[in-house]
Amino acid sequence: MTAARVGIGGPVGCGKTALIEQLLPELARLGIETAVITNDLVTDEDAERLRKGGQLPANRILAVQAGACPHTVIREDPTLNMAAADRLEAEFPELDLILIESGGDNLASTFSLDLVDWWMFVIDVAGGGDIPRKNGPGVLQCDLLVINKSDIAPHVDVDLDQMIADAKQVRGPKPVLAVSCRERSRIADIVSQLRRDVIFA
Amino acid sequence: MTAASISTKVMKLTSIEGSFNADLHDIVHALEHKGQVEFVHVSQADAARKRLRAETDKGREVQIVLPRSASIKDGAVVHLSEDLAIVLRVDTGARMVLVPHDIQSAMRLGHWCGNLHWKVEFNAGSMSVQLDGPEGQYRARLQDLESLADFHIDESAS
Repeated sequence: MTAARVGIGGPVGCGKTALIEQLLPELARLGIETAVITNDLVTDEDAERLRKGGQLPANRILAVQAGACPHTVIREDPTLNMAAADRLEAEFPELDLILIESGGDNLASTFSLDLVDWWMFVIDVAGGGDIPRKNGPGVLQCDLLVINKSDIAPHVDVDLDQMIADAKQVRGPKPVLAVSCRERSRIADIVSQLRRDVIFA
Repeated sequence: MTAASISTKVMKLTSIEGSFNADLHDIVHALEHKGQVEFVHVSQADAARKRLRAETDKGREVQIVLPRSASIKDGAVVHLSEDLAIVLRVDTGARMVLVPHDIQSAMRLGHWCGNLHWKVEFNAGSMSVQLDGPEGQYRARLQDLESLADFHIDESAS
């Protein structure tokens, strides 16, 4: 059985890499073998950050450079990412999960289901409490909407409860989770959702 | 027979055995007469997935994990044994048919829909858009185009 492929998208600075840094120890604790593919514009910045973190062997972290708008390599032509995932599966047949982090992009960014089996979109309170109401395709179509930096909502004048309510209203029955990567809150809930919906382990 | 691992609660289905609409029709149809066929309804959007947690029409939870080379089509049989078949039914989904009135408008329309990342099928003289959300959202985007291209929505085909 191949590894589950899970996308993590969202705007620049929302905390995608920070979320991966929090997910990796929880996944490891549960014995879920994981690898990561990062997408950056023209650098390996996010991959290098994860390698320095040491939570995974360095060769389980691959970097893809989009060269242009990051959504092009996760939606219009995800060939580079599919090849990277195939390579990881071939080198590490024990993998249960490959996380594919998108480069930072706007609210219109979505993942091709040719590339991933399931994907989450990350926004954060500092980006503005009105983000869910803007009905961006990323917010609407993802399998899980993560609202990060819940701990700083009072400091950026955002009514977190209202933001969550707005997100639930535009997404209907699809789930919304408010988390704080800095305080490590609700990270286990994301992993539970992943296990139930796509990892099946 | 299918490579499925069966537990008391959840079935993991890992291959497509054939099609209820083609090669396996007679076998599955015979099981259907005995009430031994369960259907999983999959939306057009979800049909692109290789992994899917779903429930059959009889309430059985299934985990579908297909090879990367497989693709979900209507009628795909994902489990077949002597006393049970599980068949995927792909909803054709809502669509909107756009009809350009001249070549220039057709080019404008195609470019516009491409910019919006809509999923479309090209037919003779028209373009069929797959609606992944409320129809009103699609109509709202087309209003912006009305002054730039001459086209209409084929209401009889939607």
